[in-house]
Amino acid sequence: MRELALPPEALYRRCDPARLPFARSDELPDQSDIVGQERAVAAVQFAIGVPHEGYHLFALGPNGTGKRFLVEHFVRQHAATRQAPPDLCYVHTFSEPTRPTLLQLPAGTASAFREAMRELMHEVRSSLSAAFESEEYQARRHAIDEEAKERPESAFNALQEQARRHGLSVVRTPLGLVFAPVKDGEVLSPEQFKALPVDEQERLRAEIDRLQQELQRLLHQAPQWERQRRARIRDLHRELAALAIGPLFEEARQRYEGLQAVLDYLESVRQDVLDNLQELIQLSEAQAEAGFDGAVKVGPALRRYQVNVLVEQHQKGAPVVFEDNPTFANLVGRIEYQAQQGNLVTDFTLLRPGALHRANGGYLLLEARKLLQHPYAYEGLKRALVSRRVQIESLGQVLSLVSTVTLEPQPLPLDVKVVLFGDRLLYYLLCAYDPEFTELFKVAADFDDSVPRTPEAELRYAGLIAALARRERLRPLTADAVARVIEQAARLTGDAERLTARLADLRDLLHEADYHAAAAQRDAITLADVEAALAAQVYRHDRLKRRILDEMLRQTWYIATDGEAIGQVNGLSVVQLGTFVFGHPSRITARVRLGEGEVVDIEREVELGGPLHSKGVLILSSLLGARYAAEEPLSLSASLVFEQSYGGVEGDSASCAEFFALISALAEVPLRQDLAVTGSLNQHGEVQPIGGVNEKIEGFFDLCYARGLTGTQGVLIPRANAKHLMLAKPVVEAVAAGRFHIYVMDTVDDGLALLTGLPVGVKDDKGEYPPTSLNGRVVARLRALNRARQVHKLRE
Amino acid sequence: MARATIRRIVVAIDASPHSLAAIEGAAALARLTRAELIGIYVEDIRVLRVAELPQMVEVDFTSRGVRLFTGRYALAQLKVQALQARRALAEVARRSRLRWSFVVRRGVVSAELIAAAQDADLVTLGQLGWPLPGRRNLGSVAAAVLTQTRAPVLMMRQGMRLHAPYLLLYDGSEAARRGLALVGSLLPPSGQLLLVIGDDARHRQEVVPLLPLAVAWRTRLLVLAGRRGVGLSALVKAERVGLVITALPSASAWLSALDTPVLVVQ
Repeated sequence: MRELALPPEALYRRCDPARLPFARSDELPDQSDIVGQERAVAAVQFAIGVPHEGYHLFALGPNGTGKRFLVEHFVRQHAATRQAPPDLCYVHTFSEPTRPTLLQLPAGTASAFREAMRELMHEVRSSLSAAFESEEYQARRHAIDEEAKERPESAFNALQEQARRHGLSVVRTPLGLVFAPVKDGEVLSPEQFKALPVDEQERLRAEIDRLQQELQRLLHQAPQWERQRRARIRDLHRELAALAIGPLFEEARQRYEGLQAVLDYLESVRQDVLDNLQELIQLSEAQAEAGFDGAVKVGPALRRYQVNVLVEQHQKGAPVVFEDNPTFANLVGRIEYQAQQGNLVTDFTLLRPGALHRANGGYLLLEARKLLQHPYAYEGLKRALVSRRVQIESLGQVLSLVSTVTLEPQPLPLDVKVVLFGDRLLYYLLCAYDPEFTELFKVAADFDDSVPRTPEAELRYAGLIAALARRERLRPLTADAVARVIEQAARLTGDAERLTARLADLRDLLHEADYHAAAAQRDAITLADVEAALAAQVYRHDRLKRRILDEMLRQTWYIATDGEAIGQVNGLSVVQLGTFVFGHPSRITARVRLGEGEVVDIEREVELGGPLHSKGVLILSSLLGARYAAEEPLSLSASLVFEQSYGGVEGDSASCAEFFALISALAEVPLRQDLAVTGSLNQHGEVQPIGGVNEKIEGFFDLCYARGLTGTQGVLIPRANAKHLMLAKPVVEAVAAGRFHIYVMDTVDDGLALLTGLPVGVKDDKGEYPPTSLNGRVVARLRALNRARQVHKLRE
Repeated sequence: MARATIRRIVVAIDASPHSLAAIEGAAALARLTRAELIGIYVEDIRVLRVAELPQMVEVDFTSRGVRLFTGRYALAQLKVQALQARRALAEVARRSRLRWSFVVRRGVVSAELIAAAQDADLVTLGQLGWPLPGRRNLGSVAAAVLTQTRAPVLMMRQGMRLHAPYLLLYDGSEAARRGLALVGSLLPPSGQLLLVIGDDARHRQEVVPLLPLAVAWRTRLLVLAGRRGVGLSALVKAERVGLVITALPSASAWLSALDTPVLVVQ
């Protein structure tokens, strides 16, 4: 049996600080790469390099594996080699005000263009003011006005003169004019009028009729003359304005030579200025100064000449954008509104860019889960990628909920590489349920959560730890501290031969160790600081573990750690609460009586057992029948239970222990209670590996240690789990001192021999077990039960 | 420098847009001086006489159509207009919390207004009466009042608003000095005065004694060169002048070109 016990050095695979080629981690050069992840790296490089449509990247893997760090590293490397994309601006479309024009300018020049336009319009207004305040303008305008007034006045005066010549006068009434006969400037009285000869009266009446008609014609002509006056003034304004602003626009055109879209825009501005001179001239200087800068205060006259800089590229190379809040609006941009006198109004100056605008010509990085959490964000992204253009629009427009007139800005042609980060489940769900997803995200970078632990990997890992400490502005680590962190990296994977790739956990550990180093006023993180951080981590989380242990020590929770008992064995369970995992022993018991071959899993009967646990029980039932009653009916009824278990039981790691308890009950042979068992079994009696082996062993050790180690206590584990052992220091020390033992099992016979102290027995040539062996006793008991069953049947 | 006392402001109202502007101008000055507004509407005797003649026909300005102009119809029109004038004055006075009264007289309009102006400290009227095609200069009524009234006359047109700064055309005459005294009463507490003189030496000497006053009234001294009409018009526009005060007897020739209220001091 001795060969089943593991030596202390097999319980914890150390990282030897002496093999690390530095005294402190700050001696190592910076390392931006990550240990392992070659598959993911190849995928990332492929996705970045391939130019074709649909080759967007999904980086999948657990959180904290450095997905974003790694992808950003390669993306930024690649982005630096590319040209910066053009700046983006929206300007007013004078022919279609609801469809703002998108201008693309050379990278980094958008603000200058905005300032140039502001300056240009300022100059335009100054020039116009000067032109329209000039004596030349005043004189020409005065001449037109005078001429325009002259015509009706002359006509009216001529009419008055005609009236006067015919003895009539024009009298103003409240609503119009009346031609009345006068004498010596005084209107005739009725008597005077009647006293006139009849033919004179007739003549006067005829003359009044004629003059009335003449007056009516004159009044009808007045609006036409006014229109002519306005037209002449308009022509004068255009002529003067064209002369005044022409050089300004010419200068601007020269500045943007070669940018046809800008030149077209400048021409449309020039035309609009000439078409709306009246509006511009009427703006006072003060209004204009305040207005052109302000958003709301500006009237449409000046606001429409503004330039809305959507995106300006300040960086060298292509942009890399990580959008932390990928809502629909934050992706495709939005149209903002302003409240004006109770109404919501908008224009092109209120268009805001989305992440797709900012990342166009480069890379957009998004968290897939957040993307899916925001309504229509994923749909909006896909629509943009499929159509290869970004249209700024509100959700109301997209869903046709809003039918009011709003803006339809020119869309932006899209050229972007999108990287989504997410866990594996999300990736596979999207693959399964969204046909478009696989069309768009053809490259998957699958990040492993652990990497093989080789001597070379340990050295690279040390480099990574040094880089992390440097990047996080932490103290450097001593070599033994680095070694301890590497050991913890193995422990976190639950495998002595692998190292975790979850950098987030390591970063947390380094932060906490740095805290302890600071408290101890050390300039480097030492082994003691790492140990203190690890102990503190456990202490912060192990309240429930301690509570369970206390109840076991107080004999509230029955767990024996010495002596023997029939049909009773110490199984081992693992509990995960948040990020903290711990193990504890559970008492598993079995009872046997005459029956018809059924093994009752009480946990399953009360629906506290999960499917894997039930599977384990069914396997052990099968093993029992095949091993001991292959040729005979199995005439027993057995029941198995986790005593004092009031929560669910899942997994098949207790199937070995349950089998041992059942055999003990059948053979009526006691089992050692100073041992605990974990392992699953198959139908051939082989013991298979389980998870959480370190926590399970430590859980039983803690109880034994608290009660006082007897020197015989220990844990039986599957041999395949030996390579996973990274046990806590007290366990290793106890084993080294011979006060605790870790045994490995290949088959159930190994476990049965250890637990009973009896020879298990092998079948002889006749296929029979030796009667004194454990197996022989089991067979004998089963036969006895079978006979009893036959007798029972005969009696019936 | 003594300040002129303004207690009674006569406002000539014929309900035309220009006379309604005159009410607002009068009210602005009354608020500063706590003066009483006295509105006057004159039923034009000439209109009534015409209406007595047989088969008189009126050409309507708005519709350009014709209608019979009878005595009854004319009287009704005048009554309606008087009512409109009274309402307009009442509304402005109520808004500004001013004392006011309103009278209706019948006669020759200019004569009645000149008579009413005898007891006034200031007269306000529209530069033009009801608009006629192409009329540019002062209306005949305004011109008559301007020349035959001793009280200062404020003339307004539709769309004008009386406000600081004021501009005083100073030529050293008695009338100009009275204008300066008026400014003392009419300038708002924070208002500025632009004192404009000609560019000859005589005018400069006239102004020297006024310099202490200039400091007290936040006055700026400006010299006007060149043609008066054009230069003044540009100055008024540039300085955003809200009232021009002038004593020039030839005012009527160019003041209609100004796009701001004008106060003519005799």
